[in-house]
Amino acid sequence: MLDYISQTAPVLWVAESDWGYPIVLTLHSIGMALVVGIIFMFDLRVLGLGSRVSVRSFDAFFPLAWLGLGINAISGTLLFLANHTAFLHNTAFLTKLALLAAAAVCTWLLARRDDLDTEIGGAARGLAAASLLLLLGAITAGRIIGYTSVPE
Amino acid sequence: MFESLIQWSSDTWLGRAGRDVFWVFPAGEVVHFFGLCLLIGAMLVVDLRLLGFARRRLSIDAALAMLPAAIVGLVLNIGSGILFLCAHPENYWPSTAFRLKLLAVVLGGANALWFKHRQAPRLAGVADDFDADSRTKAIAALSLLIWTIVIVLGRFLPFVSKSTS
Repeated sequence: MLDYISQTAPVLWVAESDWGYPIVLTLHSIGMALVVGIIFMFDLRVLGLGSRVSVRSFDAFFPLAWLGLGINAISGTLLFLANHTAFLHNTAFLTKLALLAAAAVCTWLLARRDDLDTEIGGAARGLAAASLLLLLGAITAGRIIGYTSVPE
Repeated sequence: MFESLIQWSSDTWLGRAGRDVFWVFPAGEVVHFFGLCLLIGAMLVVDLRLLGFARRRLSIDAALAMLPAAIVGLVLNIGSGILFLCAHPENYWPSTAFRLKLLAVVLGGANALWFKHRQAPRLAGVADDFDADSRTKAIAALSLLIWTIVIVLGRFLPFVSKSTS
């Protein structure tokens, strides 16, 4: 199945053309800036930065974070398929997926709390710190992928 | 012209550490990505609010309170960028992508300083849902454009760099 999908045109473009790989990698960086950038600001606000900012005003920025997540789900899937045999056995890649899943759970648990504009307690701060550190861990694992799984 | 600069920077202790200690360069890259997220995250909140985004929920004054994150991000990225430069100057100084990126960072910084000194004072004390003037919006749009260009040039740099090392 993966072997079949990896022979489709978009995947071959990433795997074999001169510019496919850097273009998709660039989209992956822009998507990261959107989703991680917005979530970092949300986490930092919960942790105390910019107390004049209403925490709920971040609701307006979450669609942008979703856009970044969408860009990275697509670009990440393409990067994976372009070299899937190596990625499936790459510990850094599997670690990155696990860290992203954990970060998503923490961020979701934090964003759905309804007490953020009244009083931010220890549980909320804990979730914000966990979200931030897990995303930083995912970035670290992602960088290690670059050193342990170079295409070709 | 670049030879003496390349030689000098690669002989610094930072350059040696970046080449000889296997984890230093990748650690610098992690810091560079972390700084990128802080810088762009804060610029998104500030610039989008200046452009009129979320103006019923967020005052310009409050949005500007996220700027310390951008400054921390910029400092982290200049620091880690200097590490890359010292470790492998031959990959950067001769590269057109690197020179353009440096130019874009300077323009982004100048644009931000222009905003701080010329536009921000005029926005002090305005209503919470204030819709900024068109010059402020132009500066905010330019800021988002410039920092996006910085990301694109940085990501393309290793692929278009002439050096093979």
